[in-house]
Amino acid sequence: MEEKEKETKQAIKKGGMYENIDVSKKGLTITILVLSLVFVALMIYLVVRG
Amino acid sequence: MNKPNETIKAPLSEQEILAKKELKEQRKRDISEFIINYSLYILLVGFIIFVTIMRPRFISINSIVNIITQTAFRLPIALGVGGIIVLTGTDLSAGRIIGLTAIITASLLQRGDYPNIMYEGLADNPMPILLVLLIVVIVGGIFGAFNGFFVAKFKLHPFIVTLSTQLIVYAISLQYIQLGKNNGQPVGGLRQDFSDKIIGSVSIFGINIQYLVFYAIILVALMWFIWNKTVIGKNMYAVGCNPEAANVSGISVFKTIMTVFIMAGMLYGVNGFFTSAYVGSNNAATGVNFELDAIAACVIGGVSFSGGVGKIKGVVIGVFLLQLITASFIFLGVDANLQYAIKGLVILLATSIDMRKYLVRK
Repeated sequence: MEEKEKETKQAIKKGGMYENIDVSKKGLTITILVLSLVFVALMIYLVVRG
Repeated sequence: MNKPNETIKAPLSEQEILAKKELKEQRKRDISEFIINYSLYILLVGFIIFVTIMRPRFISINSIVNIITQTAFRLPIALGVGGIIVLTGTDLSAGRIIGLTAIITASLLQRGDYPNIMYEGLADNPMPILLVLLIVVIVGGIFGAFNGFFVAKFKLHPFIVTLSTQLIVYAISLQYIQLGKNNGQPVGGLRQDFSDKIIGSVSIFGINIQYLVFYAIILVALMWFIWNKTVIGKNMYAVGCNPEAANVSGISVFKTIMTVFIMAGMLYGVNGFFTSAYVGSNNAATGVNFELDAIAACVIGGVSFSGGVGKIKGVVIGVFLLQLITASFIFLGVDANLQYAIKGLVILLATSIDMRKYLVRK
């Protein structure tokens, strides 16, 4: 029992700042794509502004 | 009639067709994963190409040497912070420790004829430069140990511990610049022999390269050795990956955390030593926000907040890319407000990619 608790604790500890995060991969992919688009848009804005 | 070398193709079975289809889909998935994982680098390379087209002088030798010098200047702090991030921590006090060590360096290496000299005794007996380096490395190490102790012993979150240290160090810096005849003024009037040893340059194939770059190369080599070839480095990755498992396997988590924080503090000391010569006139605000750029550089370079992931190569690339972005803003004439927004966007993107990679691994 104690051993099992230890294993669970180890599993929980893993992941550092992201430990126990519960987010969807799809959501993050969309975020990455949107941020990339915003980055490109900013660059275009810089060109247009001269 | 068939030629002897000609192979006869048998019709594909249903299973083979399915396997082929699966393989094709897997390839598609691999390509999209690659594009997402490397989207930041793809964007940055695109951005650099764009800046080069807009301002061809951006890739001139002088410009590249300047970016490399800036990278060398920012590398020690990033190497220190990188180790702490591998331990799933962060260090908000790094910039202030650099500020304090820069002020201490400047105060101990002032010219004898400088009117506001902090320690008048040093006018007749100048201090050896290496001794000053040793002093600031020890000072940095002490603050690193302070941070490490609270994180390792009391399991306090590094964010809070280093935030407190940041404020304490700032107060010390403010008090320190009041000493002697300085009276709160920026500490300047550095000895020429000291400045020459840091920001002096040597000509290689007609290109002037500051000594600072060579010191940074030595530090990178040293840290690469520590991270990859020593027990400390291996323990650091193990503790960062899973502290409980590391503890069960006989690794002293306390000692490892302390060592990494002390090492980081010592690197901040070295960075402060460089900064004093680089800046010339040091005050309590010296080094402010340096840690934010260092954290950003580490994340861009692939040092993961999930812990146990990160390479020296990544830290160097991260610092270089960040300096490249900063330099490109100057070439494009982007105003400072927008620069912060773009840097913030890059950090957010890097963190999202890092988190997604973690989810995929999990």
